[in-house]
Amino acid sequence: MVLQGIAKGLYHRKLTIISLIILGVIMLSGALAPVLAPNDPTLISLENKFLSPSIQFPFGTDHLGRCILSRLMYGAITSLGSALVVMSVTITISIIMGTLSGYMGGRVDAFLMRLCDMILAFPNLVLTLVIVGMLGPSLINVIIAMVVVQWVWYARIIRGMVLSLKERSFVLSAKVTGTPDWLIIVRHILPNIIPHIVVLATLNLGMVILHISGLSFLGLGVQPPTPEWGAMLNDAKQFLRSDPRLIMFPGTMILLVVISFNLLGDALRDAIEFRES
Amino acid sequence: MNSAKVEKEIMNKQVVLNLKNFQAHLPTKRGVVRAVNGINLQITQGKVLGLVGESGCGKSITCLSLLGLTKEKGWVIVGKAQMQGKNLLALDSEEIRRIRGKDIAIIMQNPMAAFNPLTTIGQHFLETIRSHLSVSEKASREMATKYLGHVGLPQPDKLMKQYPFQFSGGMLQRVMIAIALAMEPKVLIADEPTTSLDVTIQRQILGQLARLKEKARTGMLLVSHDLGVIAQMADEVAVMYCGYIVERAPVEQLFNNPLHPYTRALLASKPQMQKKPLQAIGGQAPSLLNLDVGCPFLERCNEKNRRCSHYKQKLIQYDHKHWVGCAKYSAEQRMLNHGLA
Amino acid sequence: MERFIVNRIISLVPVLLGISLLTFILIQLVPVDPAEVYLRLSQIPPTDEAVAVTRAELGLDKPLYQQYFDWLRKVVQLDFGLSFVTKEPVMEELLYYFPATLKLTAASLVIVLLISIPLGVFSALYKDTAFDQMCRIFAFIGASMPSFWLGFVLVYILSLKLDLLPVYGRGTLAHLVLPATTLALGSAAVYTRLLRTSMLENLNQNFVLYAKARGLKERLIVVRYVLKNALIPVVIAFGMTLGHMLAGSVIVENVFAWPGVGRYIVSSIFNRDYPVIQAYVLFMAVNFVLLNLIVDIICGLLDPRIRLGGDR
Repeated sequence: MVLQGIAKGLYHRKLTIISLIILGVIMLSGALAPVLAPNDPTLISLENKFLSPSIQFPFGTDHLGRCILSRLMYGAITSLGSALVVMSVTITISIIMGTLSGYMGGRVDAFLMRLCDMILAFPNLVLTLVIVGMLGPSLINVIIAMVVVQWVWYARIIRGMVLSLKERSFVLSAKVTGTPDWLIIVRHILPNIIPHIVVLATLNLGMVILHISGLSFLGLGVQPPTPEWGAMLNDAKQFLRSDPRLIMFPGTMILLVVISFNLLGDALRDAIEFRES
Repeated sequence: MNSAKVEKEIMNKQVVLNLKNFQAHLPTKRGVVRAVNGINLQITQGKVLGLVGESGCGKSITCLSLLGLTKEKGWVIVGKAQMQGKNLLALDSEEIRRIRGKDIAIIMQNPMAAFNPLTTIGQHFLETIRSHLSVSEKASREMATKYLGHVGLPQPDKLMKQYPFQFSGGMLQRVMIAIALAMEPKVLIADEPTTSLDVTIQRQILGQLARLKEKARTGMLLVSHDLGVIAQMADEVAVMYCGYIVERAPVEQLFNNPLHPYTRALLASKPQMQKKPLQAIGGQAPSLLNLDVGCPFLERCNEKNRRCSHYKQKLIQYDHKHWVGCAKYSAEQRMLNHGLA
Repeated sequence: MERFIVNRIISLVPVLLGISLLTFILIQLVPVDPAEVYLRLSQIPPTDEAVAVTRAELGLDKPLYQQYFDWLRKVVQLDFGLSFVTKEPVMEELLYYFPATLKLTAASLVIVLLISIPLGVFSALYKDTAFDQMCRIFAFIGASMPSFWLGFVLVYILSLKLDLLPVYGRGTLAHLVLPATTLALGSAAVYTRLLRTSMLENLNQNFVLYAKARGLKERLIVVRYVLKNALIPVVIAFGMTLGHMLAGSVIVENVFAWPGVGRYIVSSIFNRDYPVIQAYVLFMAVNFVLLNLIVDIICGLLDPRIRLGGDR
């Protein structure tokens, strides 16, 4: 029993460390792509198309003769970067809305919650897709659409947390002693909410990445020639038969990143649950 | 054949369940939980054996492990639990299943959580009957209605179609009793049958149990921490502490002449009509994890002497039917007392 | 039961109104003038005069609330106007493409159940064994797998390398296997995990102990006590997933060139065929709501506390 427990802990920790390393390497290679990338990711040279890996093109080239490794590295910025932007904007909006709604109650709360109900009545990918459709295909519109659809979900959860925190003795005693509302929110409410939200956000980052690259795969997100993993898959799909490498590279990257975020989120959740129990 | 031997023979025939040196231990990462440490109990036909003790003293584990019902995996159960010449602890899973609910029925504490919320009361009844007897659905339905009527539930036909959430705790407890008795078990184990119920309902339930036991000549093991319940129901009482039986006696004898300091403390903590202040038992029971040598009650005992710290817990016959496990009553100590006197 | 269903249906009215309102608001997001798009698609030069005429024709010159009520009145009669591109009624086109999507979704629903129920049940019953570990790894990878990539990998391995299944096209059951599996895998992973957790929770319930104490057979207990109770939270979550699967079919349909609404909507987005986009979102949302209604009814059938209005 003892050994099993320790083994389980290590197993989790080991996986967590591995996923952190994977994410670190990918993010770093994305950030340093302008320095490290062997080639220009958008340079088309038709005489170099479908090349096998070589010193000049470590992962080979695609159907337009572009360096796959360089495109993967630059793609990391677009894929991961846009997911992080979506998540941070979503979280910011939902913390403001959720706290407002939960703390103030009354009409503000009623209005915001009806709005949430309305948005939640739609399957979220459908709504994202349609907002992008209305605004027109582009990465920025994908980001907007995802934020619009997702903030609702977090805002609801945050509102619930605020409602229960509001009744806790430390908040009540702060109120009795005349602490101003903003100070109560900043000092007592937010610090209790943010750790949970970070866990949720990490757990959902994988899903956000899947959605963004999925929309890019449909051609609705990142527009060519900007490198992005989902868009690379879209380019590659017609060469599945002749050159399956083109499919494997970007797909593996997405899978790796999503698994890593999910593992990280699980580990964070375990840690936070452990701390509270 | 002398008369003592004949008496013993008769006794043996009437014993329906005999626990011999029964032990239940659970190895965990923090050490072995010694929940039950070699107890001996006999349940006799038509009689009620009361098992009292604080929560966590091993009462429930005794009842559950007897039938292989412990929730955690890894319990080590040693000893014998003999019923009709069979040792329950040595049976395979199908053999023990046939005994559960049929020869030995259990009434559990907290009836509200004991029923499947998704199926009707009737279904609970029928599935039990048909797990043990090959009778038609119609016949088992009639049986069910009959026994629901026996425990004083009105309109049994209607109740059969209802769901557990539509019942009160007291009603569900009656249903449990009805299910238990429908199989005419040889032994009925009632584990805190009234703890979660209102006082008025408690009395009704106990009355019902007593009457039904009389009628069916069922041997009953009544587990409770409530001495009032025990006094009302039991013929014989065993007091359990830290996985040991520390005293065993017929009910009047135990209440009139408690021998073990723990039994005395228990009785002193029970409200009486006379306005004496209630005595709480000081301190806490030691963890079942680190039971060392010596009397387990040592630290809380106010009658201890120097022999207690290396006393090996065992029952000593004090009187014809009165047994106690305390260094004070050991042979040496008695000799010592006589010597001094 | 009838009362429960009627109440649920009545409670749908405000939800449907909300959906229609949001759908109507969505069309206002369009950064360009729909009248202009309409004219361009009809290859008429968008002169100021022509735009004004078209605006009047499409009712875009009226105040917003007026437009909403006009639109709603038509929508209730299933009239979503004409497609900008084909000039055919949008509803007819949607209904033309919908059966393919429905077939795909239904097939993957079956696959989800076939995978997640046995895996979830047995990994809970054989907790911490090698089998359980394998199920966990499957659940983890399955939930992280991009469906658009999985589709290609399956096609590559099963069709191109092993030549077991046809790649594209539709008609036979064999054509359905790959797209449906691709669509199903993510949800199957999620449900394996959810069912396992739910089973483990119920295995520890007192009612299971009492059932054992009454001498019921192990299999009866697992099915009637543990699984039935464990399914309720799973079924509730399923309503959500059905929506995801309807939406997820967009990607899978584009991977496999499956001629359903998913492919239709993507090409309509590229064509800026706004009436189609608008009708699609409303159509999907209504489907989602109706599926959730069915899920609620199933929950009511499973759980008497929901059906008879007891407290949980």
